[in-house]
Amino acid sequence: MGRPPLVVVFVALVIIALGELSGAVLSQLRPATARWAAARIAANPQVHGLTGSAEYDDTVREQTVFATEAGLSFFHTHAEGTGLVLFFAATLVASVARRRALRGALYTLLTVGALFPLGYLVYAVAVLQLGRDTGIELAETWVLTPLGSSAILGLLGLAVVLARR
Amino acid sequence: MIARRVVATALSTTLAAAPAAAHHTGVYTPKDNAITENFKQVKFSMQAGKFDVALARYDAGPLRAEMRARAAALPEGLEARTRAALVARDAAEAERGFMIFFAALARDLALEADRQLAAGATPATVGPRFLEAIWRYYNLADFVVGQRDARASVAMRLAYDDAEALARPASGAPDRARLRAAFGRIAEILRRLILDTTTTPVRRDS
Amino acid sequence: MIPPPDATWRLPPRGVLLAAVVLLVAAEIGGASMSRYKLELTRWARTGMLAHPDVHGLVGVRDVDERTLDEALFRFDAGLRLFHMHAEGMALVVIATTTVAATLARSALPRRALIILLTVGGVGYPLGYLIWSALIPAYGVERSKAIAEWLFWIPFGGATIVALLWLATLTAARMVRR
Repeated sequence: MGRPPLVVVFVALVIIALGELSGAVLSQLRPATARWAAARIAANPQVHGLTGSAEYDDTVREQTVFATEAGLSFFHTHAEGTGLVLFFAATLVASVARRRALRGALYTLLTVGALFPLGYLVYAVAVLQLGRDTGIELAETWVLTPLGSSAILGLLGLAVVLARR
Repeated sequence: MIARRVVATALSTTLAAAPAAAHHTGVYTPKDNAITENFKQVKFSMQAGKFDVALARYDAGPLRAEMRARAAALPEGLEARTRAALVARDAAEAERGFMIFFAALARDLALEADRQLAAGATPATVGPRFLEAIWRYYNLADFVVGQRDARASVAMRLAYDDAEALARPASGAPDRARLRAAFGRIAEILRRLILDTTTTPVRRDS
Repeated sequence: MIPPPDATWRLPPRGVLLAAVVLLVAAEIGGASMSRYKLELTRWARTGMLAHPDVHGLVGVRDVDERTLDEALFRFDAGLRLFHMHAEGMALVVIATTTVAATLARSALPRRALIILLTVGGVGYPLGYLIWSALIPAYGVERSKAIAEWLFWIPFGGATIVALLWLATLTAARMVRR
């Protein structure tokens, strides 16, 4: 099986490693993460619509902390997955794509696409700083959609190359 | 050999002491049991005006079976009167029957909690669990209780809140005697409620 | 920057690939068993819990205990599900990362160390979820989680993370040297 460029392998390894680390953070540092998230919410009361009423604010706080943990959880699962997708897809590109320029284009699309899970990290932080709706919009518009599209284009390109052989 | 023993001791101390509250393994959402699920089916059917559906669900379901099984602890003829109300399409009377049933379940749980605490059960374990179970049943009757006897509804809520504060104190272990007294109050409020709503017609406190 | 087409992957030792494939098989069997034997597994777990009432804080009242048992069974099921998911994933991680280590680590000692850490860590970590579930009936949810955490998730997960970071550093060093 052909080997992709070292930079592609490096990105795949880093994404998988970050996925593993985030899993460890989710489990071992969960109380600390929840405390940090609650502190960020308290630091941005207008953004979260805090009213000063304990019952209402507690509900808002719980939901927002949950959203942050969900973002982290999504990052964990997707990073593990896209790292592996990049590794195996890039190996296929190295093995079946004959033209250098085509290989380069596919490597670029797949590698950029493998960074897609960072969108969930952006979401997890943005939801604390900017509020839920703005956080989702930011993550979707600037990270998830463009990077996800890159991954899809890269995989479609690989499928075309495989179909033509 | 000594090193192995040290490692083994450290390991067993860690395993005994270390909480594992951190690991994120999913969120548990409590489910209905067969009785409460059947009750909701009957209730929503009544509310939709589909008394034939409500009656069918009631006849075939665990709610009726439980009412019959606990007949000795319920006002005489409660199950039969409740069924008759469903047949007569009398939603208010059927609701009253179910309200008394769930109040009785909650009352019995409060009495059992008091009995177990008196027998030496750990207050920190028994208290919160029984309170949860009491509320799960009483919650189904709370609205109807509020309509029929607002004072009893308020008294029950206050008694429940007090019991919760005693069962889960901010620091230290729950006080057994005070927790027993709290369960006793809950049982007494529910006993009076059952008595009053069984013997008197609908009254609404203005 | 783009290597010539004749640059290839060197496969890791057969034993490593075998371990990964066995883990995949275990994951698949675990997943199938969860649905095929759902009732039997639930019954087994429930019987075990009822045999250890003090561990689970059972009070002998149906209306109170059903909630406790239900939650413990939810965790039991969650452990099996998490084993299935993590075993599927970690098997692929083991194959991919040990392939990279076998190809890029030039010296024998670091290569062997990386492959061992990645394989042992990758195979051992998901077993923690299986052990957690298996111990819940006898030890309770939290105590069995602590056992799994300290005996499996932390050591094996830690080994994998350390090896991955080492491998990423090694790859970066190779990139820079070129």
